[in-house]
Amino acid sequence: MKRRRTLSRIFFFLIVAVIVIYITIPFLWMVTSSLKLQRDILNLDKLIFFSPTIQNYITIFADYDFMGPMLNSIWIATVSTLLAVALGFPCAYAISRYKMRWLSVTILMVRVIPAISFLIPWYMIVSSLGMTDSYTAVILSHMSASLPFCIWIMSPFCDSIPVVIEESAIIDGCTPLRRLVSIIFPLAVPGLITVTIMAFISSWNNFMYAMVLSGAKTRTLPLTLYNFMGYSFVDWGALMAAATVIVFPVLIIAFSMQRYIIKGLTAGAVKG
Amino acid sequence: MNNRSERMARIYFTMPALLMLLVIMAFPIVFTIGASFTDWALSSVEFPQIVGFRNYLDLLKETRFARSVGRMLQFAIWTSVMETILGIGFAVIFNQSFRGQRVVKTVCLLPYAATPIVIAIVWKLILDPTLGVANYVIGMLGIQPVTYFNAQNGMTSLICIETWQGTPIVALIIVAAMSNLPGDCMEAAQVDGATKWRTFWLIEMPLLAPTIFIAFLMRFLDVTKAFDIIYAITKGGPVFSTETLNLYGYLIAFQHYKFGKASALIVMYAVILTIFGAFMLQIKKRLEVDQ
Repeated sequence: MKRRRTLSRIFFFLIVAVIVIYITIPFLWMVTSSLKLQRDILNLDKLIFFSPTIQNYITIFADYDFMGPMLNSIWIATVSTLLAVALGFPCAYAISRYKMRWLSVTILMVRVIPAISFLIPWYMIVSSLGMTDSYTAVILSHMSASLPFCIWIMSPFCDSIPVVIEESAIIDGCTPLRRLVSIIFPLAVPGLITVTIMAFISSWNNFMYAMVLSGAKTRTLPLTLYNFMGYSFVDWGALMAAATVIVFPVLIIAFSMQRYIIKGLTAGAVKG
Repeated sequence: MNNRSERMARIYFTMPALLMLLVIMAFPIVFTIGASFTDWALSSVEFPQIVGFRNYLDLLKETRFARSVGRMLQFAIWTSVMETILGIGFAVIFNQSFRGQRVVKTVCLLPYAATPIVIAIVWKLILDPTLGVANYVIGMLGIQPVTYFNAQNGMTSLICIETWQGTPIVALIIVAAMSNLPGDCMEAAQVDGATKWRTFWLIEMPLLAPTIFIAFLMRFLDVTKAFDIIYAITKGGPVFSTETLNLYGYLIAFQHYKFGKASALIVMYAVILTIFGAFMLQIKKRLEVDQ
């Protein structure tokens, strides 16, 4: 009996190991390749055992303009996320407290519509206003994804904060704005963290909007990597070093904030 | 809550967000609908003319359009079905208590958080027909090398990559639902002598079904909007074999600059997705009532 249990335990961990390898294998390959010389990447005898080098990382920062897009990505993701949360949180609170259900249905519909629906008008407006290659255009476009998302996640979150907490404040003559800032905000922090992280990740990863709206000055990292693949497809090591640099920040966020992200991902599907 | 300051709060809390949504989303939608009735193209010097429903009729007659709709559905259905099946399997494993459970759950977030363009490029190199690792490994097993992104296999390969990315999320959603299940039902069944297997199929699965179905629909909707991975790996090719509706719309707009025609396609695309979305909302409501 005992032996059977150990066997099934071993079998169980084998399955877990297979799943973990299945999920992580592209990342493992990416990171190891970024630490290899070109000839070692193609030499498959050195798939696992090789002598690591950081040459590729030096190449992408020294030979290619990688710093500029990186700062752009940080700036655009940060500003668009903070703006979305600042505008979205009061709106979500109002939807929740004043039961503006029609609004929440509208917000859902906005989320369903494909991103490409907005691209042609934006492109036209931006180019006719002479705003091509401006941060404003790119930041606003990223907000179109993060603002509805923020409202969508935060209004059920506000529902879960009991109204009773506010009632004594109302009797004391506290204004709605004061209540939002000093009573609701502290209680909503976990939800706000979830929204901020997820909006930041989606802005950081955004490719389509950047491709149409950004130019030489405002180019973000995903677009830079895509162009990089175009003209330097042979240099796999540098390409993988660039890829690693791009995903590193979001993977760190995912690792350290996993609790919040899982909450956000399951918010629409699981009650409670 | 009926005095004046409360009524004002309603307005000033929602106005900034609504104005922003109006400017960046509602106005563009109206603009696109308007443009879909014109022959507007960037290549033409003349001022756009109103052509009525011609763009729509042209598209509906095109085989390329019909096929891209079909491919979108094929891509979305296969991906979301595979993700759901694998996701349930993963969730059953992750739901056992074992050491390292937290780490495994965190690992599940990696494909979700990783930049799609990075995922696309990494898979493209791994699946490279001559230099890629994948063919090397299957070569050791004695299998002939495969060309992953040709007209015949392209769609399957993309479905597998998208499935790889989405499965862990579906698994996490199902695990979250499992930990919310009322434990007494399962206990009662086990006291009555039901095997683990029977408890799972006859009690857990029916209780989980609504969540699984909603996760499936959510992924279905997301995958119909897939763009980055397909664009970066195949750009819809070779010979349109991986061109979904989203990609076709993008190419008409930003490669041929036929904004009128592209707008008509986008309007139809958005209508299709809105119908799916409304359908999903309806089902979600019904499931929640049933529970």
